[in-house]
Amino acid sequence: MKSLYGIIAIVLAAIVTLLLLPGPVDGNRGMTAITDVRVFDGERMIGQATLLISDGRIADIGPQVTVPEDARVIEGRGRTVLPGLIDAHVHAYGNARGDALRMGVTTMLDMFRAPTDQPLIINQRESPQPTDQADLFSAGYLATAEGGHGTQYGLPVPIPESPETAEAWVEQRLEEGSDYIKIIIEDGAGWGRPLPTLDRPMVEALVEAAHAKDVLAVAHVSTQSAAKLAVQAGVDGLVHLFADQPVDEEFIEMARKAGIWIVPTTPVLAASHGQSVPDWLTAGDHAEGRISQQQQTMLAQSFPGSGMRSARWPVVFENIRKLHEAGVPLLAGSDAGNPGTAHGPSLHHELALLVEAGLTPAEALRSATSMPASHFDLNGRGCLQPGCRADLVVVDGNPLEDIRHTVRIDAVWKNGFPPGESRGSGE
Amino acid sequence: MNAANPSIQLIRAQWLNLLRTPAYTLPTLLFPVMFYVFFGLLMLRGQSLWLLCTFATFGVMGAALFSFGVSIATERAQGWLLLLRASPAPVSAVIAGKAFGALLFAIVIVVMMAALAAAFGEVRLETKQWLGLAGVLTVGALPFCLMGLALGLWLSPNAAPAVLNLVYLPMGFLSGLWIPSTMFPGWLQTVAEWLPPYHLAALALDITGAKTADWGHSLAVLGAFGLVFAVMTALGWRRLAGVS
Repeated sequence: MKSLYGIIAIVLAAIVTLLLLPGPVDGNRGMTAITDVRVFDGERMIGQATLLISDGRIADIGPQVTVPEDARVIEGRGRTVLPGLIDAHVHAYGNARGDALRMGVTTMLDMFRAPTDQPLIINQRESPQPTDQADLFSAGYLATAEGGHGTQYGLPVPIPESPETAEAWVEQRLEEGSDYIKIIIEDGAGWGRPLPTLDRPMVEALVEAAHAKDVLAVAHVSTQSAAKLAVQAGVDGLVHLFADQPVDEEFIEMARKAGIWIVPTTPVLAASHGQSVPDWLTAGDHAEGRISQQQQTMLAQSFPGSGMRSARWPVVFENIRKLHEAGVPLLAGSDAGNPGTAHGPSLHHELALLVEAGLTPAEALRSATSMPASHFDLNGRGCLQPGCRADLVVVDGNPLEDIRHTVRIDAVWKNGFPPGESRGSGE
Repeated sequence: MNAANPSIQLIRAQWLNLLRTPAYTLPTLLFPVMFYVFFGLLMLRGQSLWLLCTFATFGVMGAALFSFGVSIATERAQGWLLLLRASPAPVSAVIAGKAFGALLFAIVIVVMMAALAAAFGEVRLETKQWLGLAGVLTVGALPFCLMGLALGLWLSPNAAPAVLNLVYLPMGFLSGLWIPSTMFPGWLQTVAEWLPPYHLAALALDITGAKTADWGHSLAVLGAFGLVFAVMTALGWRRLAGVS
């Protein structure tokens, strides 16, 4: 019966190996508690509380949470915890997702990139595994006219030929994995460089096709007239604020009635209107280790002819303030990937610019957490309630007193772990 | 324990067979593990958990198909099966011997991959998930054992290795075991959902938390698939006398 012992030995060895394989966090069953920390839950400041993380989700949160004995405890006194930030307008290529995560941006909404790796992107954002990359949603290819805005980057862009083919065009994008449809309405008038653009029937057909498939239709605009066309065509939101004119009563009325939202992308407007990036963003303790040299170079760039447009810059703030006061939802977005911006830091820039324009710090934080989550239907993101993803940013200080405190990052958590921690030996 | 029990004896014979033919045993064990190291650990980092589930399914399926298919076809041609049928050993004992070999392979493959995934792919799972993964894939090897058995009974010994490879590799690939089926174009995803390995991988993915699965649906597909080959096996066994 020697062979029987051999068989039993192999099976036992297999079972023992399985029992010895590592669990999510060595020793304490994956429970982590951040205690006595100021909590902004995506909607409001709920004050000092304890946050319990397990299996990549928020297990419990509140002032009365009991910390299990075997949980790993992180002392949070003096700090503020925010939901992982959402950047509602980026162009993600190269190191974008890693760069963004280092600065606490845990979810990004891309507004034009080649969709070749879209299925992988979808897998990764659905995975509960610890990661050092921000999650990405994407429009994939954008809809633009032959030779129009979006065709200048050297990426081949499929052109929707006629309103009759809009449905097929949208279907193709969804087949590629696009999460929403982005439509370019850009005649170049705001930039002094005429461009071919999609006409009204084409825009209407694309919006209708997107809505028929139950996905959002969003529009790139840079002028008030294009913005009006977009709203009339029925888009769900504008992914830029226009600055060619002060916003007028007619537009405000239209926007309110249609219930659209706007991503101001103030950082890219700053870079195209002669504004440079402030020192508090690029220098300071957070910069070392969280902003790469390559990102610093990007942040120092600007658009050609940017200085000549600086006179228009106050219009940006005026428009943000008016739209906000009228109750039009604003979603924070950076348009990072462009000159003068960088994935991660530029969203913090956006928050500060929104506050400068008249939002309260809490409103600015909502625009980068609960609001994009609700308008883009991002379940479990932008919130710190039981069941939400354990994507969070811990900052030194209190961003509700000074919004610039959001860059004083103590730790970023993604899927329940600080990026990189799951790799080495732990602590 | 009754040493004369034919099932035990045939299991023992199979064990000795595996030990004495390392040229068969080692490649069968190491081939899928090597694939996982290349794809899951070296090339597509960050997908280690997903690919652990799918490549382990791939390995288990291969072990089941080959330990049954090729050997049954050969033994049938040699008249060994006919002899066994004439012996007092019941059919179940013959199958048990082979099934034991396949399941042993399945466990060893899953455990080797799991250890590599934990050591080099940063895959971290609860103990119950590690055990569940090994358990579901080991039991899940059974329908593929039946498939190997049926093919072995129907194919000539020369054709068996070629036909099995022709089934094994494309079915593995199309089921999304090498590249996640979520990366397939839409129509190919539809194809994947009709293939049994896809459903075994879906159960593994569910257990590890990589992707939720519809257990009822996947079990039904695997069950129906197993049933088809159980019937083919029964028919093949009856026809045995006529062939040799």
